[in-house]
Amino acid sequence: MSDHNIESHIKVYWNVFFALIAFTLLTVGVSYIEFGSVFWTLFIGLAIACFKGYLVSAYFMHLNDETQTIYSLLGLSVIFLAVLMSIPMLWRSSGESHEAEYIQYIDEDTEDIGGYIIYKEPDHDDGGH
Amino acid sequence: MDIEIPYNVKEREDTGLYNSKLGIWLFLASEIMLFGALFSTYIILRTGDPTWMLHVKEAHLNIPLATINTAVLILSSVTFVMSWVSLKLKDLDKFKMYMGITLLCSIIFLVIKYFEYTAKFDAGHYPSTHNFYAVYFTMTGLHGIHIIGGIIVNAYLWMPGTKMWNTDPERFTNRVEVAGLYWHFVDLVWIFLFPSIYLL
Repeated sequence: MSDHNIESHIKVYWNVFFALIAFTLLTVGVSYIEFGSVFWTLFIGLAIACFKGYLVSAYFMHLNDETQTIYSLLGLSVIFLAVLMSIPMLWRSSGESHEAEYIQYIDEDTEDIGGYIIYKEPDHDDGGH
Repeated sequence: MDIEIPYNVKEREDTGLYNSKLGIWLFLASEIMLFGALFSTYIILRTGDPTWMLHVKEAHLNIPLATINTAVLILSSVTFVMSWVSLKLKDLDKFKMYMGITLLCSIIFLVIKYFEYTAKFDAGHYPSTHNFYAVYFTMTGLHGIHIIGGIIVNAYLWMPGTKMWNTDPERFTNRVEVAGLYWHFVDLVWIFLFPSIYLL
């Protein structure tokens, strides 16, 4: 790396830093917005995280300019990671839903916000009366 | 008799890498599996429990503190990369300054984590309280252990390890690069942990 090259790299590193801070604030900001569905809330939140992950790995870890050995190694990791992440999709819930309610209260003395959860017994309605 | 360890600086023809760089990437590949398994478990536990979000609400996770911690860790990543650049520019004093800031940031991260954990314990929330807390303490705790591991290595490179700069500067620069790859990975894990546990 020549000195001129290094100077341009330094600029890139700091720009990536400011972008990462900006996207962190954006992640926190959008978490307060109601998107109407859980899917979109998760999708937008994780999409921003993925982009931040790309910035760190591509620029700080220099993955945008690496050898084939490392790309092959990471390619294998990504395949196994995909297998790990697909396990939850194979999993089935018991189908039994537990209804619960969250009760929030404010302590009059300390003004602390507290809360507790009330569970309701699941209905075992098997159709036979 | 001194035995010369090959490929500390020179790249191997077959891999195109010096050995410790290949070593750290193999280690990071195993780390991807470790954290991947935990994220996968988290998804299963969360989707299987309809009361999950009620426990998240009850936990009153401190989002402002976690946001500050995210910024602190990102700052430590950029100062780490700057410490490596300083060695490339043959400026040991700047290396020491940037590595010092990295170490300071990592300690600030742990101090904030300490306050977060004690607030949870004071409220009577332990890993055994609910699966949410089990996930919260396991994942952030394992990440915290990685931070401690990084601090030990970085502190060594910052103080006693620096003497290698006088005898073998290229090898020392490579050591810093390898430690940096680990440190950026720890930052990367937090980038996914922060939204998935605190925000979503």
